[in-house]
This record gives sequence, structure tokens and C-alpha cells, in this order.
Amino acid sequence: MKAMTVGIFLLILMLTLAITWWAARRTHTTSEFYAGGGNLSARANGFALAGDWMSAAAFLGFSGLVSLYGMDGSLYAVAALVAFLVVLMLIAEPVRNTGRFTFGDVVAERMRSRHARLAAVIGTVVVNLAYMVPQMAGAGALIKLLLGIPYDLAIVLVGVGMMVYVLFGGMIATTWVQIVKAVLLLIAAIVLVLMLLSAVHFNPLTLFASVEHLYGPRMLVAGGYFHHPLDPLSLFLSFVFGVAGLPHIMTRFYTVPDARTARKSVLWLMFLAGSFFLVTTLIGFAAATFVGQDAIRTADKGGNLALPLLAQYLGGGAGTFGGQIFLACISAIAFAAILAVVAGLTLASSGAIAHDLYVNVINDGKVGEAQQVRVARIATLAVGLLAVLLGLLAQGINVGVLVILAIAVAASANFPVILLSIFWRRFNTAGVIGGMAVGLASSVILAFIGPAFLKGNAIFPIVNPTILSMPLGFVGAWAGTMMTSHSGRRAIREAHEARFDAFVFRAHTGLDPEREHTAQ
Amino acid sequence: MIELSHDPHPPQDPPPVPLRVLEGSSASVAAVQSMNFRALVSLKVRVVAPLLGLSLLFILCTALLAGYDRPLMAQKVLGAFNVGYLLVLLMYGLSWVTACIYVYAANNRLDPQAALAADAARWSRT
Repeated sequence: MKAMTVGIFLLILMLTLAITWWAARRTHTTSEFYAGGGNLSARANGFALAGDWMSAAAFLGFSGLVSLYGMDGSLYAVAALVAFLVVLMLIAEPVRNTGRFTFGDVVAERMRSRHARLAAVIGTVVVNLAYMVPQMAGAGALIKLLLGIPYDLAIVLVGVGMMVYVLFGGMIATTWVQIVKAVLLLIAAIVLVLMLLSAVHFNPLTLFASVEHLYGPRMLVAGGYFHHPLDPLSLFLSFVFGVAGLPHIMTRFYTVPDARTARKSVLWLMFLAGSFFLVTTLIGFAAATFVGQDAIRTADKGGNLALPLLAQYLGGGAGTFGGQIFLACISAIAFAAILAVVAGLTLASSGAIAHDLYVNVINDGKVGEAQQVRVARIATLAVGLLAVLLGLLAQGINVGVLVILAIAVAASANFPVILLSIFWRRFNTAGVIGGMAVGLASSVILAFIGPAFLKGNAIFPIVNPTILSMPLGFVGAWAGTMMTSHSGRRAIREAHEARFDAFVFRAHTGLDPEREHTAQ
Repeated sequence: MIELSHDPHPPQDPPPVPLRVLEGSSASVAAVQSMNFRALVSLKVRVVAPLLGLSLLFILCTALLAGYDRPLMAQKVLGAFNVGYLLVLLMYGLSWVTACIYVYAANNRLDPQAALAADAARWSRT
């Protein structure tokens, strides 16, 4: 079994390395490194976005949660889809029209301030690292369980893989690895769903009935995983506003030529990833019915192996050839999912460090093209090594809090800043710093004193702190702005407001009237 | 390039705003005050506000019901399939339908209006 799994792992690894080799020959400029040249089609970018969003946490986690907790897992899955309504209607087009490579570009374009860009760098790096460590830890645990490779070695392997993709292939390799992974994952989901539906005579209601019969009616209502009545609301707030503040998602809007294509790519994502999220309920219920919650918990107490175990069951069961093939395929796809997502996160982080911090904050943009690419690769190496180190340290600790932390920081610090940058005329650099500082501090503190970390001794009762930390982030942004909006000379204030006019015109039309004017 | 935003420690004696920036600024003010751009913003508000507002209202109300009214969510609709799962299913449908309506409206109404506003801004300079 292990030889077969290793063989399929290696096959996928070789395919992605071949993509990287092909991409490396096309990656020379900063635009190619950070944005893949900016000429992807809506469909290709939609698949890549779906690949980004269907991480191992979604692929394994949602179906696992459904199998153990029923409705709570289904709420997680649908929240991950509805989140893109805000991205589609409020964020994607302005971000594409006003930025170049990073979230920091948008904030800096609006504020024309190094302090504001620096605040965006901090928001980006914190969110990305908090998002990356659980992926690394999950990869280590998964590979250790399936292949018998020690956790440490598994983490190093994932780290080396993602660094190779990003260092040599930049955004082009990362994008195509995401696309391949998304296609593989969707094919696997279609095959699994067809097989599990055939097992219940194509009547999905049978699965609902069997879960209710086996585990009681509580599986079909919220409350198994969420204990506080506000937990579902805070979960939705986290996703709906957090996704709009995730830097690695924003980065994908620079890989397309214009806002119209960015918009269409979000629609592709919503159908591709949404269809997958929809069937995680069926997959989870089928796993609970056919594999059983005890067996799922024995394999992994968090339920993350429910989907691979279901695949093994549908293939014929443990010890059969079909069962082994199915298990090996699903495991290899999960591995590819982790590699692809961490590569995207690494690229977004290295962009923040190299493009925002080194090029624009430290050197005021006066860095040659070749040097920029060189620094981006060094930053990739540094981020990759840091991620490996944190992944090694994360062994055995509760990494669930980090996922919550990442999305809460994105919703509480990044989202208020990006939203107010786009829509509030008076918003200024002090507001950016205030929003970022208060949103970041409140989400970190509340996450660590909440049930995800302190379990029964939690001081803050709600798992996702966004319900409180996001309003606090907005208050911080408002307070920072109001405390400084009356200072400074009138000419500066007027210039700031005129700058907003130029920004908002560009955000909605793609045309910068100031630059067009001065270019004449 | 001058600092156009308010830093927490604004300079005591900021440099005068160069004429070139003032010319650009007036172009920006004219661009956002143009009839075409105002029509674009108004159209966007009319498209986005109801679509996003109603969607979020439905989604967040469902989340509240999931937490506070479990007996209602447990009411059976068809076999073991209950109100809670019906609402979850509706959220999927709502998300897809809303997204399609927005993309259709953006492609067919917002983009042409944005192009008109951009063309007018270019034309006004020449």
C-alpha cells in the first residue's frame, strides 16, 4: 500500500516539478514573478483561485467536521462559499484596478505613505504565517500517518517542495500547480460522490436518515462543534469579511489583465469550489454511515481522515486493491493541495517583504528589475525556512487556533483597512495604522483567550473572535483617522482628498486621471 | 513625490504642493464630479446594495437561527431533511444566483458606464 501511495505521490510531485521547470523559463520580470505576467484568462484564474481556496483544511477538514458534527461542518462549508459575495461585489475589481502585486500596493496607492504600506506588510505576513503553519502541521501529520515518514522529515519535504515551486517558477508555477490540483481534486470529488450516491441508490436523503438513525437528530442541527449560540454568526462574519482580507486571495486578482476578468474568475471560483463545498455534506454523512465515527476518530481525532477512509471503503475496503488505490489517490491529492496552498501563501508573503518592504518602504521604489526579482527569491527562501521552522515547532500543539487567528486577523485588521481605503474619503494613514493595530491585537488576544486555545477555561466564550474584533478594528481605523484628520495644513488635506478622488475614479474605472493628466 | 496623506506625525512645515500635482488633482475632482462617473456610482449602488444587502441579511439571519432557534432548524421538511439543511441549501443557491446576476449586470450595465466615464475623463483633457 505504502509503495503505491509513494508512487502516486511521486507522480504528482514530478508533474508539478515539470510545471515549475516550464514556468521557470518564463519567469524573468517582477510582473512574471508576482503576477504571472498578468494575462491569465478568467477560467484559468478561476481554477487557480479554487485551488487556492480548496486547501487541505477544506478538502479534509469540512468533510471531517460533517462526519463528526453534522450541521456545524455544513455551516463551515457554506460559509466558505458565501464569503466570495463580498469579494466579488466590493473587493475584486477595486483591488485589481488600483494595485500591482500586493495588498500593500492598494493601501499605498491610496495613502502615498510608507507607514501605511508597512502596516499592510505586517497584516499580510501575520495572516499568511498564521494560515501557513496549520497547513504545514497538517501535511506533517497526514504524511506521517499515511507513509510512516517522521513528522519532521514530512515538514521539510513540504517546505522544500513549495520553495522550489516559488523560487524557480514564481506565480506562473504556483498558478498552474493550483490549476492541476483543483482539477485533480474536483475529479476525485465527482468520482467519490457518484460512488457514494450509487451506494444509496442515488437518493441523498437516505444519508440524512441513516445519520439521524445512527447518531441521533442532534447531528442535523448546529451545536455539536459550536457551543455558544453566537458561534455560527461569528463563523459567518469571519468568513464573509475575512476572505476579503486574505492577501493570497487578493494577489490572484493581479494575474488577470483587467477588472472584468477578475470578476469573471471569482464567478468560476464560486461554482467550482462551491460545488465541492456542497458535496462535503454528502461525503461527511457517507463517511459517518459507512466508515463510522469511531473508526474516523481512531484514525484522527479531528476527523481529517474521514474522506480518505471513505474513499478506501468505496474502493472495496481496507486490504483490497481498489481500496488501496483510492486511498493512495486521495492522500496524494491532499498532499498536492497542501503544497499548492503553501506555495501561494509563500509567494504572497515574499511579495509583501520584497516588493512592499524592501523595494518601496526601504528603497523608495528605486530598485532595478533584476534586483527586485533577486530579492523576491531571497524573501521566498526566508519565508519558506520560517514556515518550516514554525511547522516543526507546531508539532503536538493545537493548530486549530491558528486557522481561526488567520481568518480573524484578516477580517479584523486587513478588511477594515482595505474597505475604508476604497470607500472612505477621510480615511488616512493614522487610520490605517489604528485599524491594523487594534484589529490585529484584539483578534490575537481574543483568539488565545477563547475556547480554541483554552478549551473549557476560556475567558472569551466564542470560538471565532471576529464578532468583536472586527468592530474593534473598524473603531481603531475610525479613531486613528479622526484624531489626526484636523491636523496638518489645509493644502495637504485638500491634496489628500483630491488623491482620494483619483483613487476612487481609478478603482471604479481602471483609469487614473492624475497620471493620465500629468502624462500629457 | 510629496506625502498626500496624514501620517501620525505630520511634518511641521510641509513642502508646498507642486503645481503639477494641483493640475492632476483638479483633473481628478473634475473626473469624479462628471455626470458619467456619478451615474456609474449611482448605478453601482443600485445594483450592489440590494444584492449584497439582502444576501448578507439572509445569511446572517440563518446563522443566528442556527445558534438560537435549534427547534425550528430541526423541523422536518422531507424525511430527515430539515429546515436547517433547507436554509443551507438555499444559501448555496442564493450565492450562485446572486453572483450570476451581479456579473451579468456588471458586464452589461456597469462596464459600459465605466467606459463612458473613463472616455469622458480622457476627452475632457484634450
